[in-house]
Amino acid sequence: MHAPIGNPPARRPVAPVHIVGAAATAFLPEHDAMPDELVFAAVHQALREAGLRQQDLGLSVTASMDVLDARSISSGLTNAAAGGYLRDAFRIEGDAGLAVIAAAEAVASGDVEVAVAVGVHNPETTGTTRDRQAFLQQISNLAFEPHVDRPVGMTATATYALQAAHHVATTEADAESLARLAAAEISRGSGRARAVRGAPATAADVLASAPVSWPLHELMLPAESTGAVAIVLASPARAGRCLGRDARITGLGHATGRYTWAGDWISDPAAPTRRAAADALALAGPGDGAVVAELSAPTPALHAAYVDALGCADAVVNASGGVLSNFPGLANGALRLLEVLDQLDGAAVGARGLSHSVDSITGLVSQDVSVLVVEAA
Amino acid sequence: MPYRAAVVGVGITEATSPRKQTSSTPELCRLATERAIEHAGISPDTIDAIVTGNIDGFEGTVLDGKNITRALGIGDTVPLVVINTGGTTGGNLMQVAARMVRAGTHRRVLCLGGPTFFGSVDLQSAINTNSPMIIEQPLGMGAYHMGAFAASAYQARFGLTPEDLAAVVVADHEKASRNPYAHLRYTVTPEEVLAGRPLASPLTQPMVCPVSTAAIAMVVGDAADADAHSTSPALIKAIGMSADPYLGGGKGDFSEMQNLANLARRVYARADVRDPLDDFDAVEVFAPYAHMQPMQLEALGFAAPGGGVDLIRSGVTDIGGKLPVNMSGGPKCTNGGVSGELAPYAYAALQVMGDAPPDIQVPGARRTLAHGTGGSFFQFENLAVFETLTRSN
Repeated sequence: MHAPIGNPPARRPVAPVHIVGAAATAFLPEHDAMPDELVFAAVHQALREAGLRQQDLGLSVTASMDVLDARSISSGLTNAAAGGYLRDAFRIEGDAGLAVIAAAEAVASGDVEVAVAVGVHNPETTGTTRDRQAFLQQISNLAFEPHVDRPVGMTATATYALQAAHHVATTEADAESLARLAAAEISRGSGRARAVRGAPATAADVLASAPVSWPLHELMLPAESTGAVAIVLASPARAGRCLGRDARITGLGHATGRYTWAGDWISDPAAPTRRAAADALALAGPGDGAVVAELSAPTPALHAAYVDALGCADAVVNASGGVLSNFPGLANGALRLLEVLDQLDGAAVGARGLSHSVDSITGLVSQDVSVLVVEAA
Repeated sequence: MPYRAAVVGVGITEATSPRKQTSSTPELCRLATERAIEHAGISPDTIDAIVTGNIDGFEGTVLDGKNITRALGIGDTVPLVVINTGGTTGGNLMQVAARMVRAGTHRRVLCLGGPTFFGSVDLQSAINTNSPMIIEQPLGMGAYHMGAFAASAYQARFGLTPEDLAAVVVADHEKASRNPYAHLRYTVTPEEVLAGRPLASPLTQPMVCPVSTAAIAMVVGDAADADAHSTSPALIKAIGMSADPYLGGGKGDFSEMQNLANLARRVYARADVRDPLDDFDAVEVFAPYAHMQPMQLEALGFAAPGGGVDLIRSGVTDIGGKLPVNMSGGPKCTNGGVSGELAPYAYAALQVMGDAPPDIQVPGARRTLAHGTGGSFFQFENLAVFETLTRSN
């Protein structure tokens, strides 16, 4: 046997991938629709925007989860709606940011010319907001390790609260400063078409909202919504023959955090974001800093750490209000990218944007992070 | 700037039933990973991504890759991608990994298929939830009920007999008896197969797969690194998937696998395969039910419609035959869920690497075909063509 090989050589250049279409459904607390209906609506609109048809697709990647869709192998239901009939198609159980990356990799590999990534999120439950939250937290708990973490009640929200408490205990932040940050995000997004928290909020409003787990209140947590978002990608040559929008993905990065036992998800919660950003920016190469950024901070206690990890302090951050304005669960990664694309519309060629998304299945534990560097083309 | 991808290491654990299994899911996954890394001759810290599968409704947990992959001994910050496409999950793991390498975003990716069925209490009930909810779900349709639709249609069109199905089972068991990793390593007689408990006509229990526990891992790397590995890598020459999500009512004919035939044409063109029977040295198909293997061999161009059973009965598909099929014993004898779905890819790659278990290695195999399938009324398929990658050293 040969001696084990050491670290693999540095990563290689990756072919650019263009974004030629993007569309979303309406975002509602609960859609009266099946997942395939939402997927079809978003994919159809995104393809139409690009002047493409289902027959042009080489690959469809869906982001969804069986347990949320309330059926096993729910990709059997959504594949055709995503344009996958008699084509390459698969489903990622995770955030749509990973679906965009997988679709981009397929285009960059030269295997397909056009691919669509779609995230859909409409948990198959009904009832009050509190009921829906309980359902999501129950599913979150089931995704934790069964012997130690589940019995103590670990959930995504529990990880956010533990980190926020640590943040307050070890920095100058307090509940009021977190509330001011949350209010600013909500207010910035309010009035926009995709906002689900439609009214501006003050810090007092945030502190008056239902306490969830100290120091977090309801309005400090993501604005849960349902819907679907589709992104159509194409090779540079194929993009030249498409209609509609044109932007270029020049960098992409994906990182996954450590598990509960490591503890750094409390003390250094931005570590996965830092790794994903480093990979994405290394691929994108030197250039001007991002002019716009959409980041996904599930609580205000994470906001500054994510801005720092992404290196986007000089950019316009979360013009949309971020996830505190609208968080469509597994579709979030595609929504953040859509928001960046809208903000780059009309910008000078080469103007750069950053799209950052996290999954919320196990919160900060084993957190999946995607970072995309996008340039106006 | 696309690159080439190759399988550079494979790790398989010995399979058994959930009742007899003495290792936990994390232990099996870690063992398979260690074996794949050892086979590849690489350092564990050179893995730069993991692609794994979870089929939530079949397992006692949700996304258990979130914790299991943090304890594989390859570092706990490796990026994780979780795929779930049901029965095609395993094969799709390698396809996704291959594209990560071929794109250049990753250089060495671990595919991990765990023992999906370990925590299941009633698999048929879980599978029932993917059928249409107005009629089929209330009827209690499970996987083999839906599978029997195809068996019955094939029977009606081509005169398939229970004895034909038994012949397929006997052949699979004979092969599995030589595979040290297989679950059902005993031989059976046609009479035993026919005397088995009826499940859904024409299928008896010996004609359907067991519930196994095992794990399989594969390392997919940059083909340019071939010389640095301890193996002769398996070049991933061509890959493809095809989705036919139409449910029962929209399918014209259950007696042939048109979706697979379509995919085969596409993948063969990419690999420049012109005469499948001549061009492949071995094939591994995902055929958990006895009727599926002859139907798949037909769709893959190895036999004319209705000729799959004759091909199997002729000995062509046995070791030493012109086209050895499922030398592993196939999923009919070992089906650990995602690990079982990844198995055709693992064994097909091992054949061209020359590293299959000695008693099932096809001498001189240089081009093989791996197949995955999933679904019940709907059908998803995936295929991969492997070729021996010639090393310069």
